[in-house]
Amino acid sequence: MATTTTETKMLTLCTSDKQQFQIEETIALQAVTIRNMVEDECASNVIPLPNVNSKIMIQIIEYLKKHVDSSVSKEDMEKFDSAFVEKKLSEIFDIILAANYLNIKNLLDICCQRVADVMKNKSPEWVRRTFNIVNDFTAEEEAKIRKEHEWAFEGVDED
Amino acid sequence: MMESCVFGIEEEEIKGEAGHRTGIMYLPEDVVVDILSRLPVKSLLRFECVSKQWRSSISDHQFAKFQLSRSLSLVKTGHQKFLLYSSGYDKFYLMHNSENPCEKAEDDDVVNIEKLELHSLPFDYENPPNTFRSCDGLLLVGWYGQFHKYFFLWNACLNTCIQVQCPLGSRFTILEFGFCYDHFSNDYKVVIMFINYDVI
Repeated sequence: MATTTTETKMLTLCTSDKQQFQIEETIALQAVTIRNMVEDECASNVIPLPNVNSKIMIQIIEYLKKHVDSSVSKEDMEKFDSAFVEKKLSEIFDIILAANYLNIKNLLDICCQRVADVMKNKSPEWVRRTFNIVNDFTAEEEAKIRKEHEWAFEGVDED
Repeated sequence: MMESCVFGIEEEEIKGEAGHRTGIMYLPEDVVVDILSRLPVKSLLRFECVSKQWRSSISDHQFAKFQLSRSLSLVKTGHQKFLLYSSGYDKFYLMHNSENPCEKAEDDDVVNIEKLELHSLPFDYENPPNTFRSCDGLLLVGWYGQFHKYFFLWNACLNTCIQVQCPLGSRFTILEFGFCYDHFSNDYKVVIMFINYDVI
């Protein structure tokens, strides 16, 4: 192995609100989108990330820093992950959008799982509000669909 | 198809509370599908009425396969209950973890056999089925003897039931049967072990 690791290579990430984050390359490269940019691109080491704001970037860096550390046991990593997703759903949505753009699969997975766990026992009305979805069924159509599987509406959480 | 004869609440009362309107951007469709694939079937059926787009995503055939494989992996991590486990002939349990089937589920998860609507089958339920087999949440219920051989396939998630025709006549005696998924034909199969008394 060549001894290129003596010097830690740093990357600068520039978020949508023009904040700059200097992080180790090994941490940043876990994001496939960043890795592709580094591999394909010019030598410039300021990477623009117009789809991520600094508030979310701080959290993503926290996640990436933990996950690059190979000394963390599987159990501790799971603990970290479950504590990491203990956030308001609106924040999780923002992280999902960023993780999807940056292509960080594990992060996307745990956030999607978190959303699924929260919404599992919720009502369709709650889902529409939370996901900003407009109900495009007529009242009759909706009543008909609900009637198909009435039992699925038993034991739903209060909104 | 089984008709449900229960008259229930047509519209859920919507609580007037402020709610947590988040004002978020729309999530990309593939992310929404990823989230949906992590939900149990009961939630998915409930969310079919969210919007036309959601109904079409949820009822898509490819999605059903994706959701099933996801469920099987989620069972391992304890995120979902899936396997059916029969104790005696009248109760089914949805288990948290397939590796530990002895661990009892909570009472809420117990599905009584009445709930399977077996009473709507052409049988006297006085006469309990000989046996059950389950695979991927599908349950095969069999009643058989020398003169009758009936098999019903019950989808535990959808609570729907269909009869499976048994090709064996009265000269055949069923010794044992199994139920599995066949990857080659992409379908579920019933395997029957039998004796033909005409030959013996």
